[in-house]
Amino acid sequence: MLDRIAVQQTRIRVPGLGLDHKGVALGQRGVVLFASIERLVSFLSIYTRERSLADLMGGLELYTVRSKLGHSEILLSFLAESSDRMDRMAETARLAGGYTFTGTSRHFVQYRDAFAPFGYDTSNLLPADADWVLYHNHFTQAYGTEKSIDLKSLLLRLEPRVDPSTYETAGPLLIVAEPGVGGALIHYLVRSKVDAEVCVGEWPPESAFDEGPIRRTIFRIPDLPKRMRKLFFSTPGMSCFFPSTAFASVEAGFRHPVELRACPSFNEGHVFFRGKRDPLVLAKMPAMGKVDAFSRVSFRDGTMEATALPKADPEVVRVPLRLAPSGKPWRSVTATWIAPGDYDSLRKLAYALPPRVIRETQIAVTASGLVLRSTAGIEAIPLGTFYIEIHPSLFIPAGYEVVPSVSPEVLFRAIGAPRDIHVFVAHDSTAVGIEEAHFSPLETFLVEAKPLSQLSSEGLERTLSVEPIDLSFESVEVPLLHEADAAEELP
Amino acid sequence: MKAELSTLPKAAPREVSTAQAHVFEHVALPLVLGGHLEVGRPLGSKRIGAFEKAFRSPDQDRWGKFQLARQHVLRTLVPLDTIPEPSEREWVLLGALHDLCYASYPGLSSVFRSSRAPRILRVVQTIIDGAGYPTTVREAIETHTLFARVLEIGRPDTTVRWWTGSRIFRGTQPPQRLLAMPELRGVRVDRVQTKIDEIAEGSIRDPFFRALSGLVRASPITNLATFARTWPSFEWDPWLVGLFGVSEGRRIALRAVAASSTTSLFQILLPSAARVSESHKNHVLALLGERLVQEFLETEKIPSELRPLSRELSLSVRVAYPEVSNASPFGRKLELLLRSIEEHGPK
Repeated sequence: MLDRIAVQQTRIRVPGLGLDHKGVALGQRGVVLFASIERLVSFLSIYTRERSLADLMGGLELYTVRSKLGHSEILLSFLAESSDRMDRMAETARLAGGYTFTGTSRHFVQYRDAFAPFGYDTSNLLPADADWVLYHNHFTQAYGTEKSIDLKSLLLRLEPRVDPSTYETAGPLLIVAEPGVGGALIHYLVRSKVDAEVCVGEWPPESAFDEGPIRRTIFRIPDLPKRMRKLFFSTPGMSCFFPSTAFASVEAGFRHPVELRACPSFNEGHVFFRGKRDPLVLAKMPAMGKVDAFSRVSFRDGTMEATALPKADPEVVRVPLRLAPSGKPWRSVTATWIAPGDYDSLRKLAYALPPRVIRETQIAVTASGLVLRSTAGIEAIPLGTFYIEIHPSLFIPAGYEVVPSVSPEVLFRAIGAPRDIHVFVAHDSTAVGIEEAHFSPLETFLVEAKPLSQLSSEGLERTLSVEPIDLSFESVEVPLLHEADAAEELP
Repeated sequence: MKAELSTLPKAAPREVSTAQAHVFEHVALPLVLGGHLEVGRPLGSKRIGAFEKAFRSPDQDRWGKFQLARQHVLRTLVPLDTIPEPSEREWVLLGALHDLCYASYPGLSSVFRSSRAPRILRVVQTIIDGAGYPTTVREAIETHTLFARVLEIGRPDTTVRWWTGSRIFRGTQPPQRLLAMPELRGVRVDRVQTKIDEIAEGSIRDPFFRALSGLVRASPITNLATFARTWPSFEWDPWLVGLFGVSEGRRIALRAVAASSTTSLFQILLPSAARVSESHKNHVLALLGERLVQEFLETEKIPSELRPLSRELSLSVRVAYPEVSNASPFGRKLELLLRSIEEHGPK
């Protein structure tokens, strides 16, 4: 039976056990006893869901212990450090079905619980030379160490559980392609323009019948398009893995019982945890290269010779200017050329033009037509051939572009026109120049000044004026008495 | 005996066209444009009955002005841009007006001609009765464009006084010889415009007014527009009552009386409408209510002459606008008008 440590008790009989600043009995190490390896895995699974094992890794030891009766159990030993850590471990161990003890070398007494908030003590120490003597409220047992358990090996031996939800995991994807599949996958990724890195990993032969190491192609795809996921997950010969850490990945559709991110056991190489098969372990991850570098390369037939021209003055290369149809959207349509046949239409349209358009448009008269210009755009006058302003003094028909595609400034200089000349390049590539001074405002040009004629306002005035109605008998005719007048005869 | 228009005897075409031309020049044109309405030889039922719709004056300028002035009147009532030529009925009425004015000629009332004017007036009455009422509102409006100013006809009477006497010239100009040497002879000329309701005297006064009243009623819109006349007094006839029965007719009626004051509408039109029937009175009330509200919206006050009629005023507003929400600006204006009527009405 254990004794509960009382408040402000200072003397403890278990060797190696002391009191921390809270008065809790604490030794240098903590020990958790599990009845089976499954309970240990449960403990690790529960613990790593919320906390990392990195804090414990410094003194973490796992043993298989055997009692005198031959009963094997699992023992997890770690550095106690503080009662807080011990409390956390005790909570998780309680959930996983383990017993928590604390002590220093050989004797470990039950850690505090709700019944004994400050821990336990015992005066009945067992005089055994076993490696571990555990004092519990319900039992006292001595264990001998059978063997130690490597955590990494344990993790490697654990089989991932099926979890289809992992298929939806976003993020980078690692693909291990079996021999024969890798090459095709490389070209598929190149053709599909999927960004990926690739390397080739070697594994030792699985049996004596294998001729050499097994080479598998490893791909790292940062962002696999969704449309390809189903294909990749279901193609035989390709195993897809989602990285848990930089050194460990789990196959898609599976989940490792222990949260690998919380286990710093893997810190080099890479481990691919496969669902239904043994994990693939790479001691060292090969250097990866862009998948584009592995695309097919082909050479032209024949040889190429670069022959230098003999040294001489280069001949001037003259290129005739041409206008080619262009599919680009029209921009800066600021001029139009109206042929003489459209003058009537322009006259009729002039009556409908808004004041702003008339104000902003300039016109020049040439022998072959009228040229209208407006910096705000000439679309309001939908007549004639539209011209695009590619240079402040250079206009080409809308829907065309100049070939060769020299810059407008260069083209204008090549034409050699003075700055105050506006050049219009026609469809036949001929250029026509119109001086700036020949453009005048449309509003002064538009209205035809007719000679004034005196208006006759007499009729209008007489119609609308209200004159009195005067009954006049000036013209009255009175028939003579003897004249039978129809006016006096009733019908 | 009432004779239909179509049964009136026809005269010879040549004298008919001459007569119609005379009517156009001397009756229709001054009636529409103003000026001298010259009466000539009496036309009679035969000639008037033969007047044709197709008549057009050969003087295009004068014809154009005539139609333009009619168009001007038309546009005050309805938004139409064209007016047809006068109809056959309108020509007959114009002819009847000519003979009516002729019957008022003072020279007819002599010892030997005392029966001429009454006989002419009987013929005129027959012609007017035969013309009947317009068949459509459009026709009534077009007739109104001709006769809108019929009651403005006046006879200029000139009284010349000289040192030995005086003489009155009714509808004629005094001869120059009477006006000669005005300082020496002490000539004094007084000109008076005698209204149409005063030009008939003596025994022809009653038949003259009966005929004039018939002529005005033959143009119902003119009858309504001149309701405030003193003589012939305004009377509701079935045509006008029918016009008020439809909302479009009330619209036209509202425009026809636009020149009249709101006071005269309430003081003359409403009491006479009450004597016709209750429903007609409500129609007239609705019209007057609209008019009152229009005026109130412009002037924001009620004519002081109408204040004693507060009951009729508030009733007319409620009849004209039975369902107007107080939440709208117009509704609030109506509320203000009704409160103003009650505040300033008789206590």
